[in-house]
Amino acid sequence: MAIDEKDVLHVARLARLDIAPDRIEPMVRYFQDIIGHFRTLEKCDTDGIDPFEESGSHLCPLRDDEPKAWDSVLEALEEAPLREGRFFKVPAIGGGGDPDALS
Amino acid sequence: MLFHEMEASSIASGIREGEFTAKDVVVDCLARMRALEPVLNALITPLSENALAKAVGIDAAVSSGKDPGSLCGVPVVIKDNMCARGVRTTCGSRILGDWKPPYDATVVDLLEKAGAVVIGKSNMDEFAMGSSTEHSAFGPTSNPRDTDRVPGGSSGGSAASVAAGYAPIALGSDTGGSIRQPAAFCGIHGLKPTYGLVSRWGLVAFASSLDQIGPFARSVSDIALVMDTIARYDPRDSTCRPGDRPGYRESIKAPTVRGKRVGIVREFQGGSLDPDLGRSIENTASMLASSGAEIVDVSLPESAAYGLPCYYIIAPAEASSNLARFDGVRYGLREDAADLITQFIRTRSKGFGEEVQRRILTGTFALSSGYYDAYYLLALKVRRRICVEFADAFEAADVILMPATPSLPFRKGELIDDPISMYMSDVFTLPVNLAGLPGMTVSTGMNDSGLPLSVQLVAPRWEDSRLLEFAAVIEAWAGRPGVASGGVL
Amino acid sequence: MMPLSFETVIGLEVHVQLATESKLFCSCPTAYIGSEPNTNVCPACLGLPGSLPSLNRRALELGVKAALALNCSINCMTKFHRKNYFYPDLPKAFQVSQYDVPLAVSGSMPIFLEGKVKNINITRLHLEEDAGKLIHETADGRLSGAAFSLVDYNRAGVPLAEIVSEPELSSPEEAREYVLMIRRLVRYLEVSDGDMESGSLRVDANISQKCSDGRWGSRVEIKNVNSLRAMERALEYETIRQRGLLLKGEEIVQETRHWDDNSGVTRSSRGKEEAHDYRYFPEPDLPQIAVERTLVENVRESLPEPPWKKREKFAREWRLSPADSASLSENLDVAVFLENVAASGADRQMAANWVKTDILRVLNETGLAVGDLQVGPEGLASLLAHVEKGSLSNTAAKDVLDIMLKKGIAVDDAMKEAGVKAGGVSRESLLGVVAKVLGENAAETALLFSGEDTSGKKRKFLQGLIMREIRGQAAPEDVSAMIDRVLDEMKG
Repeated sequence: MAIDEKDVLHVARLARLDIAPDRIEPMVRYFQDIIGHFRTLEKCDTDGIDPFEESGSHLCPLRDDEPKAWDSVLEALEEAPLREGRFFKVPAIGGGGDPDALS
Repeated sequence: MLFHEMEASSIASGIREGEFTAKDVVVDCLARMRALEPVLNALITPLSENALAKAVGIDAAVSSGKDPGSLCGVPVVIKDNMCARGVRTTCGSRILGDWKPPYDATVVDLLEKAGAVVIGKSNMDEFAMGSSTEHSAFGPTSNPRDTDRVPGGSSGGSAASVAAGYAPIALGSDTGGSIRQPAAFCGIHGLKPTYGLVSRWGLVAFASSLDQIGPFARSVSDIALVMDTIARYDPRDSTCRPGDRPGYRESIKAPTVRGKRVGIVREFQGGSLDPDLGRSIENTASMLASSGAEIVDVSLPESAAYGLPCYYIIAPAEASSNLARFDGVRYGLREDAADLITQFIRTRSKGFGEEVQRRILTGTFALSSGYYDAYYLLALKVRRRICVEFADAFEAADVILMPATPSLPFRKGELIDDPISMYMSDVFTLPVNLAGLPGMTVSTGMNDSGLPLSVQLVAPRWEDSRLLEFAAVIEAWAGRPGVASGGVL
Repeated sequence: MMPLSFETVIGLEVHVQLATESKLFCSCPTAYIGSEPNTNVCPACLGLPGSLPSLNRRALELGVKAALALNCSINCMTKFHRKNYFYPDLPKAFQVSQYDVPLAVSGSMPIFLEGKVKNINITRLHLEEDAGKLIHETADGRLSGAAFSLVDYNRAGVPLAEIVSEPELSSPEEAREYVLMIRRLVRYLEVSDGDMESGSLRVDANISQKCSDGRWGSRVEIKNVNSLRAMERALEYETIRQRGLLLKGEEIVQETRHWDDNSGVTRSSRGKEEAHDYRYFPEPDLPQIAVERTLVENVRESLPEPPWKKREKFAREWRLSPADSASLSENLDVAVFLENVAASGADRQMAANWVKTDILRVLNETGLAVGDLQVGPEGLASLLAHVEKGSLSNTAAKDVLDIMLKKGIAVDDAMKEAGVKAGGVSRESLLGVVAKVLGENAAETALLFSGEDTSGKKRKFLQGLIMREIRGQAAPEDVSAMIDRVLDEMKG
């Protein structure tokens, strides 16, 4: 199936990215090219393969339930672009411009 | 004395034994850096003052009889996607703004505890996505062997720093070849360890199942020295394998390839491979054979046919998720907007460069409803096939000898508008990441035009020391790479 | 034409905050209530670049514990997925949750309603991390139209178990009983405090209607039900709304609706829904998790009898009333206390009566837990032994229990302090007291004597006076017998 402008803009909305009007056409072409490469995988014989097998990998280690406070919280808070006291601050949610609502 | 041409191990022992001071070394390396930076642009953030202060501290420790560690006073360069507490970390992107991480990456902590002196954070393709270090918000880096050419990428700044003599060692990260390809382009050695050997805690993730941190150096023994420092179990990284690591310097004390089988990959010879690089493989194989190794043919047809598309589904898919957190709420760039979703979109569209946006979009696409099975899940299955294929090849060979890159370093701007051709430069390196194997670029000298030649060695999982042993034999034959002029004589 | 009839079909997703000390994927403390904002945070739960998750063993154990109690099968290899969406309370822009291989599947749990037991199948139980909290702020204090929101990540990363039922509940009342039983269970297991008010137990409901003409309306998910009452009201509202649509021959839209507790309606959040595409994929930062047999067996050994078993035992074996069986099995400690009273020799029914009226009353009045009481099950049993033998009246025994509870002393000492002795009145002095009381109340005595006290009221009155005089230190039967003896002597 061919990927068109609508598909690329849908993906951009999911990714919270805005593609400038003059970049849409090159992006669609890039998508068509790269998906052409992706489709070569269909030639690979993958019958009976468990995609989630993790051979050679160890199992997930488990951590003991011992609480420990982090001593650099203030340094992290100072990095916030917008802050109020100890809160991170964000503009109102919704308030228009929700790309999900457009689709 | 030209400290910037010395090996890390000689620097450390010289300082420990009082032959010279850490300050002498750091001053010389910083001078080298200052002289070449205007041409090379290998560093995003030089750390001259911090480095001098640290060197003075190390000298004080040495003179009071303490041993600061195996990297005592050794200058190092760190790729700018590893967190160093309080030091701006950019990942070559605008989106992180002036973010100063409030914590250290495990590798940075381990290096500093061993006495290393971080002299700068190096330039890179934005979020490690690229093969030329041209996709950096901080401008491109030049190849110190030929400044019209790219240093490779994404760890181009780290590779250029070591080739140019800013430091004997540097750290890079390798997701699809980002250590091995720039090492090849800059004419030095670079090791991508087995996935899970080195902690990723504090490495800003590109593709979590593929990323691995590793060293650059101008000598195999320095690579081993760094590995002895950074290859440690770290409970903060659940993908880091528990247990002890072997002694890497120990493994190259008396290197031999006698009786070992070296696999040459049929599919990777000829074709579009640069003839000089093809000859480098042949010459290396002949030398190994005359040193007692057995040369065998191995076949990796699926890695050759499917490695690239498989990688360009899995890596962007993981990246699309890893990079979703850059939204202007907790750190980094924030573009103002009256509502939150517009803030997200503006911040991300302005903060990420074009290549990163391309990969986020393809990754989002590959995971999205209706395409997951056709692309992402299929790529996972193909990845399993590639793992099995390598495992089969290692039944016949102890080590695989293959090219690191299909071409010699290309010119700046040559591939910048052709992303998919740029992706091809990782065609020999990325299957190794897909299979989680250790791979190493070993410098094999220069061609007639003075451009670097190299080979890539690949071993089974956790057999990183076997790579070092082979590399040591090759280095003894091809010679240790020297410091590049960096365009300044 | 036959009138149409409907069946309501409800499935519930219950999120339970697990009672761990540290978060699911980092070592930050979980105590977020009452903490200053953004204090219990670290690189991992703030989603700082370069941070990675490490799994809390205890959270896994508590998940296994709840799953075993729900009779689920444990997946011995389980794994986490990322659920990707953008929201400011989600610091990594994905939630680490479970998807195709959850911790446990295929369980069941009985609920009790109107004297009947109904088995509800459990689809799955999985672990996931909680999100942070958003506080909406207005410049002028208005509630709506906030210009900014404030984000606190103290709750981000707190472990949750999500328990998903099959769509087998057929009324809001059943849904309520189901949630109550889950809450009782997690409290029994000490897996969670199960407190809905503070948000440590949260419910999303799926509801649809099956029509007698063969139509089956689409499933609607209801969110934002923050109390049991809200859940019942929302389900009642949805039942009426959906049946109304079906009666009009209209389609039910499959969607998520939000309950508005003030207006008492559910509202569509459509539009947002269509683009929801969570792009689940395996969390590459966490290898597969082996749920080891020894872990499962150790947890299994630590499991208490679940609340429904206690309740059935009290009803069937102990023959307590349904109401008593329910109230005495509500809390594990109370149920075990009662069992221990009986195990120490007390009669089951008598023990149940005393625990129900006296012990629960004290617990309610003082807010204490049963373990904090000054009287243990053996103490209560030894007191009840006196009552059973008839050597202490109920009234006297209650006084003694009060002293025991207040002072934490043994029965014998408490009796001394109350000035009572078991069977502490000799027959001689009892005879004296009875004769005296009958003598002082000649009118009533006369009615007894002549057999005119047919209702027995006067006799009861006199007996009460005698009991008071002897401070309850004789069994009522003995007092009654003594009254007859004195009356006989009068006749004699």
